[in-house]
Formats: sequence, structure tokens, C-alpha cells
Amino acid sequence: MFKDTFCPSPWLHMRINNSGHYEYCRWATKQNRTSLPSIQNETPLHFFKHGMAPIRRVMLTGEQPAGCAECYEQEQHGKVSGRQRQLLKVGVRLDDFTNTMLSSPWLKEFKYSHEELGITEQTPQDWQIDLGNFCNSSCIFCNPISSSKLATEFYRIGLVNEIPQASWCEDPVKLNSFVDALKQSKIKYLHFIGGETLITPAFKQILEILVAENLHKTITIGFTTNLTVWRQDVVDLLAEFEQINLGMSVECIHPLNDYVRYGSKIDQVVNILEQWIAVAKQKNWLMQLRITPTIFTIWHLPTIYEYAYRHKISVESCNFLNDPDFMRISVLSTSLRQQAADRITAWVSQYQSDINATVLNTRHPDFAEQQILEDAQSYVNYLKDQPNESSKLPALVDYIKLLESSRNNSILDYLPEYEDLLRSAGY
Amino acid sequence: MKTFSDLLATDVGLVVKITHPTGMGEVLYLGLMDEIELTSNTIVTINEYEILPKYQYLAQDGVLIISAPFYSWLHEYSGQGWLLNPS
Repeated sequence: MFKDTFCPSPWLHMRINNSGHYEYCRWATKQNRTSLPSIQNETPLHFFKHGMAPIRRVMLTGEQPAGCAECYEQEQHGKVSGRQRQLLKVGVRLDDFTNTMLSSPWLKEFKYSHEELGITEQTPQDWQIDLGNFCNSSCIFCNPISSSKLATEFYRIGLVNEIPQASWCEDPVKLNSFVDALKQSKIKYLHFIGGETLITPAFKQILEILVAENLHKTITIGFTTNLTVWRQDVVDLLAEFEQINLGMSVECIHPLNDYVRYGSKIDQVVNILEQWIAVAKQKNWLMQLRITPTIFTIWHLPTIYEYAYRHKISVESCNFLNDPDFMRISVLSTSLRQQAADRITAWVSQYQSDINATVLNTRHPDFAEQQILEDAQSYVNYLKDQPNESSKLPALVDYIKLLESSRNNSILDYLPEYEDLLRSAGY
Repeated sequence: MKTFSDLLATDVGLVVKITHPTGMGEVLYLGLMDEIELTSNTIVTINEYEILPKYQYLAQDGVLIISAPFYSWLHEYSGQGWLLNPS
């Protein structure tokens, strides 16, 4: 069915990844990330208009692009997908697809691309900018391309043979090419991720350029921070923008967060979190808690939902974690999956959920409580329905044993409930 | 509907169901791009979405005017966030 596959994102969004290569979507499956054109050899707007024509053609023919699998998986479990978020930005809802598509202000743009082999005359309005891997944390589910600290550790313990190249935005020529593209585009939203954005020099530099170019009055800035640092100079700069979408990464309000988001301390994380909440409330910024649930943190996931519910902050994750595959929630044993699902269900059942509602505008603060309950339920659905992948447990154990030998810690100090499971796989 | 071409060939519209204060019912069939004017003391659904009395607070002088297209109006007033426009 066309409505089950179509996504308008390629008409309004693109991404520049950490190595400076272009990608058609922030949610797309991350494979062959350096095989696409890069800012080194093609302007962003040329890539958007021509380089993304094939994906637009695929969308219009009703095929299911392989790179979009994570969105389809989210919808299968009742989680609001990136596709649904992008559809909403063009006024389209899946529960009334035909009427809303034919009423969309973008219909004539889709028609144009349909007649012109996928080409568009539009420029991106929603960009994701990956600023490189400057990072002071080494989360266990992360990778050297996104964390310099993890890159150093992986190199030291032999998991990689080389350190990733410097970020594209450290090169002034590439940065200028990016700024030129911004000036020629009708930008509504720029979302920055790292590494850790606050310690990435280019983040502040780009914000300063946007202010100098007077673009700060019309652009909304989104960014994600790991809650381990505070930079008042950057906060002051952000305050000059029209709107801020603040993403705060935390996995659980429990010491397990220290093990998973290695380099952080949960008490300090909560302090900084509260500092951000105070600023965001004062400035009327939108806030989300950004989570990446893994086989480990699914156990204490209700602590995040409870915190978010109390503070009326929505909870968002990009996907159901796919990579590394041995850290997926579906690697959990049947028995622990059931217990994890029961824990989340017990939390959800404390509150009144509108079973007829589906919150698509997940960042609207008025809808936060319902959104949190729906997100929690999507993890229950995933735990119950996703095919079992416990055959990946030995790979998980090998990986954490290697990391723990470097870090001198043990998962069992944080998650004793998993001892039997991990021992059974060689821990 | 398998492709974009199929979508374009689909015939759709707005079904406006009005219940007057007298209890008498009325059904209007309009196009997706039609502007709609409603008397605010009626009970109205459009394509099964409740419009009156839900959005009565938007009426002026007893009349609710829904600018076209209806679905963009609904997007805005039902709190669906940004509705981007092409450049």
C-alpha cells in the first residue's frame, strides 16, 4: 500500500554525517555511510536536488526503500516513526491518508518530482548536521565515528585499527560550503548532534555565524547534549534563537546509566538535567529526554518515563536500537523479556491513558503525558512481539568483557538481575 | 492504492454533517479545497472529525469560518505542530 511506504522527508530534509558525507535521512539505516557524495566534492543543494532524486522516485512508486526499515519497524510496534513525524510536517496523517495527502501544500511538489524523475526545485528546510566525534563520554552502544573517547579506547584495546578522521566541519572550506547552502535555503530547522555538541567547537561557531547572518530569528535549533557538561557561553548564544528543541540524553535514573553512558555520573547528570529544565522553562524551549534503550537499560526504563511524566517532558528515541546488533533488546532471554515488559506495564498502568489517541506531534508539551505512555507501550509491544535474538548473547558477553577489562568495572554491580543470563553465555 | 498515480486518481471530498438546534440534520458534500462557513450553534462533524461545538471558541459573531483547505485548518487548530510550506 502506498500509504504504508510513502515518506515526504526527501522533499524537505537531508543529513550531513560526521565524515561530511550526505545521507537522505536522519532515520535511515546506517550502512555504507561513506559511499555517498560528500561536502568535499558536491554542494549540499546539488545533492539534495539531484542526488536524492532516486529515493524520491522510489517513494512515488510505492516501493519500500531498504534504508527505511527502521521506521517501518517502529510503526509495527506502535511507536511514532520518523516517517510519521515527517508526514505530519506536510499535513499528512496515516489515519486519513488520502484526504490529507490530496490537501497537502506539498502535493504539487510531489507531482513535479513525479514528472521530473525525482528531481525537486525545493531546498532542504530540515537539516541534520552531525558535527563529528568530539566526545567526553564512551557509551557502550556508541562507536568511534561518534565518540573520540571511545575511538581512543577501541584503538587501545584493539577493536579498531585506526582513529577516525577529523570532522568535516573543522575544515573552513567545507564549513563555508555548508553556510552558503544554508543562506540559499528556506531553513526552518537545524538539528545538531555530535559527539557532544557543547564541547564541539563547530557547534558554537555555526551558531555564531547564524546570528551574524541574522538567520537566528527564523531558524529553530535542535541539538542533543549528554548532560555531562555545562557551557554558559553556548546557552547564552542559544537564547538568541527563535526557538530551541533541547534533547537531553539519559538512559535511566539509576547508577546503570553510569555503566552504559560511561564517563557520566548519574547524580551529576540529574543536576545538569535540572539546570537545563530550568533554563528551558524560562526560555520556553521544547524539551525531550533522548533515550537509546538497550538490552541492559530496558530493565530500568520505567525510571525515565516516571521522571519525564513528573516533569511533563516527552521521551524520544531515534529507533529500536539495531546496531550493535548484540545490544538489541530482543537479545534478552524470554523470561527476562517478560519481566521487563511486566515492569513497564506496571508503570504504565498507574496512569490514565487515552487508548483512542495517538500523539503524532510528540514534542507538543501539552501532549507529553500521553506521548510518554504511548512510547512506553511501544517497548512492551516490542518486548512481546520482536523475534528472539538471544543467539547474539555470546557476542554481547565477549564485547562487555573486553570493555570491562579496560574500564575495570562489571555489569553485575549495576544489574545483578542479569547474572544468570550473562553467566549462561560465558560471562 | 499502490502508487502516487493511484492516489491522484482517487476521488475524495468533505462530508459535512450538521445537526441544527431544532434537531434537524443536514449533510453537505464539498470539495477538499472549499472554504466552509458554519453557524456556531450547530453540531458539526467534517469527515467524522468533531468541529462544533469543539472549536466554537474560534467563531466570530456566531459564525465559524474554516479557511481552505480544511485539513490545513484542522492541522493548525488540533495542535499538530509545524505545517511546512514549499519554498
